[in-house]
Amino acid sequence: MKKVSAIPENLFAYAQACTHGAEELQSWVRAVVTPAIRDYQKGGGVCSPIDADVAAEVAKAYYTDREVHLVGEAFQRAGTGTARPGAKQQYLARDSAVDAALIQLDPAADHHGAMNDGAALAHSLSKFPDAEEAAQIAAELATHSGDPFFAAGFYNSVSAAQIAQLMSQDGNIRALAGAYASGVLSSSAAARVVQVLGWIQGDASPQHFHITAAQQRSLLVALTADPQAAANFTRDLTAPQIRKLFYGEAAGLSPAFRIDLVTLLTAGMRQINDPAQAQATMRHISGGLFADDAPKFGANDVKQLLTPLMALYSAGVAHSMKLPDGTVPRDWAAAYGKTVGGELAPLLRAMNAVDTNPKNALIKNMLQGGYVNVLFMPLAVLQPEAIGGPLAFNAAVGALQSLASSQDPLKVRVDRLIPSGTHADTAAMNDMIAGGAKSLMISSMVSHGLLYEKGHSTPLRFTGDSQKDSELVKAILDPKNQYKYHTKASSKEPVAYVRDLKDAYDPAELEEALRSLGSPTYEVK
Amino acid sequence: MSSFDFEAADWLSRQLVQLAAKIEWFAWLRDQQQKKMLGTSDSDNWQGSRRQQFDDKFSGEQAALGQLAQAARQLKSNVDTAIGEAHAEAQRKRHH
Repeated sequence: MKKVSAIPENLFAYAQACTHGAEELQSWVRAVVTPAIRDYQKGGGVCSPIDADVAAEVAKAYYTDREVHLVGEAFQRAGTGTARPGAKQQYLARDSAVDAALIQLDPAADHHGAMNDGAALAHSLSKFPDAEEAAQIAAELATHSGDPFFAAGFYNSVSAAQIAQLMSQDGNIRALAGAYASGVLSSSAAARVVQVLGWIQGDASPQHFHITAAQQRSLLVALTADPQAAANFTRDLTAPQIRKLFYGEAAGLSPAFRIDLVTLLTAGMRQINDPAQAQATMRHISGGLFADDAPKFGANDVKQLLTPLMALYSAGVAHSMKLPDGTVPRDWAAAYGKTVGGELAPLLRAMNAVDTNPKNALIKNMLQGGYVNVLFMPLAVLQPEAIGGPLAFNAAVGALQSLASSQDPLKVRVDRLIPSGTHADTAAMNDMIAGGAKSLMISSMVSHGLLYEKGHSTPLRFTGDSQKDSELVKAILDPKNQYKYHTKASSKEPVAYVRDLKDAYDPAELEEALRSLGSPTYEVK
Repeated sequence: MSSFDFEAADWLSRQLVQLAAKIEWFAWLRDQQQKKMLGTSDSDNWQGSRRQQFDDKFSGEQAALGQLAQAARQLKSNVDTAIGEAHAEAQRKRHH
């Protein structure tokens, strides 16, 4: 594709001069013209609101000119400089690269008009809107339902009290989910929404407006239903915010709240495909839920929440996986294991701390029901692209299912999980999730053509027949075959057998997980 | 008829002249900077699809600014008319 030229210094100069001019004009209009028109009108005169018209048009010009500066920056990031001694630096870049860099610099780049219009609607709202006004707003937002940037501009400019009142209308709740999906909802707006989520009817404080449990649920469900909204909500949530939502009064007052919240976070996590971002998000979540200074989890909490929490952590683990990238295979497997173990540690530690003694039978039953669904469910709904194609996933799921049923009847497994008189056997729980991660690791490698059968020179590949593919993964993971499959030798290291990869993975994973548990009850296999 | 605020009207009339002038100055500034710093759409200063988009937005905005300056002048003329009418009304009242 042909490259285009720009001289960023000139773009910066243009933007500087023109935005300065716009700001000066705006200030003067606000300070002089608006009062002059008001005074004239008070004195009996008739005058159209030309000050507002001018303000709107100057604002448009301002954003157009401001974007010129951002384009200059985009060229600097995306382009290559040319040699022009004595002249201002020129950059050449592909159009598409400039576009991409611009969106990174300002996600709202092409949407300022819509956002301004949304903000204008917000400014027309009264401080404490009543039901009728809330309905009017809902109708207005509905006419812009195809433009989430309008909704974002609106919600960026409303107060927490206004948000609480607006939530009496379902249309406003749906528009809020749309605003999250746009990606340009400000962090202060998001903080206000979190605040409002905690203002549930029935709490001790009369100092602020309240929402009902049904409205609270409605928002969480709307966010969960929109993958982009869920992802943005989850990604932007801080640890203190999660802590407050999860352990605050609101959670105590509406029983389904925590489950809905964890479900939302899981939906969001499934959209976060960048491993670094997924890990950072899991850190926030664990920091909020299970850090040392967090409230303790009780046996009742476990009963309600273990299944959704395992789904969340399984999704987090799966999305934190980095694809094989040419790193030495043993190192890659070890890093993989370390990530899995590290991420699971907070959950395992919290479960370990739960005193299950009097309730063994209950927990046992719940876990038994939970495992069948939880272990396989997150694998089944993960985005295939995250780990290297649909073939890899299906194979992983298939292998895992048949591995679990052939090696150990589930009941025996669960009995081992909670031997009577002791704590929940979280090592075994760790094992089950880690087993899933291992099978995904192997499938990723096959998808990328990185594993060979001994004596064959072409790499193993999936066929598309899900039965055959899952048999292959199962065979690779089977201890009997530990020296049958291997990676290719490279200049960096000799052949690594699957046995070696598992060896690199297991200790790293277990070590990371056990380090947080600090208990001598667990056997290092 | 309620009393007409001549002072406010006079002040507004003069500010509307200022407004028209300032809007036109702003549009002139953009035009001048655009020619000097950005050059033509195929000059080295800035080419490409974003430049095209800018050119379209720019000319639309410049046209709108021009119309607003006109509107300000028209409004001034309306205010001046109202002032004239209010004077005449006041005169008539005095001669009764």
